[in-house]
Amino acid sequence: MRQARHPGPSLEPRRLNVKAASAGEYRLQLGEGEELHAGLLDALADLGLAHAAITLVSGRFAAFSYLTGQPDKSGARLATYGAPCLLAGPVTLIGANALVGSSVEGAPLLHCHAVVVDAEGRVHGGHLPPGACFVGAGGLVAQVLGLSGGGFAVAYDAETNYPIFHPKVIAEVSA
Amino acid sequence: MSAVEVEAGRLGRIAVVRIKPNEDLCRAVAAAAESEGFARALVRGAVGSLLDAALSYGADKRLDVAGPGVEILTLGGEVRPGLEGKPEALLTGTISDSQARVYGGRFLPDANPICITLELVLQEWIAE
Repeated sequence: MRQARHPGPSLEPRRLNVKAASAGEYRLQLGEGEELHAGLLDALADLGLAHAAITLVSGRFAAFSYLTGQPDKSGARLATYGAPCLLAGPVTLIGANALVGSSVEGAPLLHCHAVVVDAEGRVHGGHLPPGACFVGAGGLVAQVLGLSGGGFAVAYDAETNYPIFHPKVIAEVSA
Repeated sequence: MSAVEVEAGRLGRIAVVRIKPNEDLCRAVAAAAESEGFARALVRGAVGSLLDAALSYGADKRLDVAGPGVEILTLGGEVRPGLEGKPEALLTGTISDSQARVYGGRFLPDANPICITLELVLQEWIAE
């Protein structure tokens, strides 16, 4: 198995675990026209959830944008994202996982990767940028596992030179 | 007699996990469950990337995808006690490469080093 050389030193431990408990499970249905990130984060805020694991179950997008990874030629990082790829709808969801936590500033943040099929039957997938994926006709269904006691918060990772989600003990989920 | 094996149970404790670069996907997911005392667990959410990927499909076919920049698009699976009782992760999913091609299959152990990170939520499955 090949091993990567990142710009920063390899930091111990190699795995970070935080204990959490369920803060409830919810099925959400976003209506046509909703933007994915804002729609999910607004719904979670209404439920009092700041941390969650989300599975997108089914649905369609009227417009979809994704980014895929590639080697970072600048050398600042091992891998980076390419330019966004835009797909006109209808784009059908195949599957997606998303995690919700907090940004460095404490704002809610959604990190989502998805695989979809476009109107011509081609399969695509990648990292979904905020503000660019809009729900299509029939809506979009998400299953949400709310988290309490532990969740994700962005912290700068010197090893990879990226600000990324790290497990964090959370005293209490804001109600 | 039915050929279906039924295991009654319920979901239990949850672990929020980050797996760092160069750790093997399957080994690290199993180790995360073991360190939390979960003999059995389900992947409830995961977002991350791989340095290189190796997926199995068919009877014994192997697909290798070179990175860096292989995105894990979806990841599902479970941790179960394997031979000798040590937890093993059986993980399946979809990935994309740096040319935006999409592949799917079962992730092979000792062949899927994490690139930047894997953000993971595991939930214990308590068999009754």
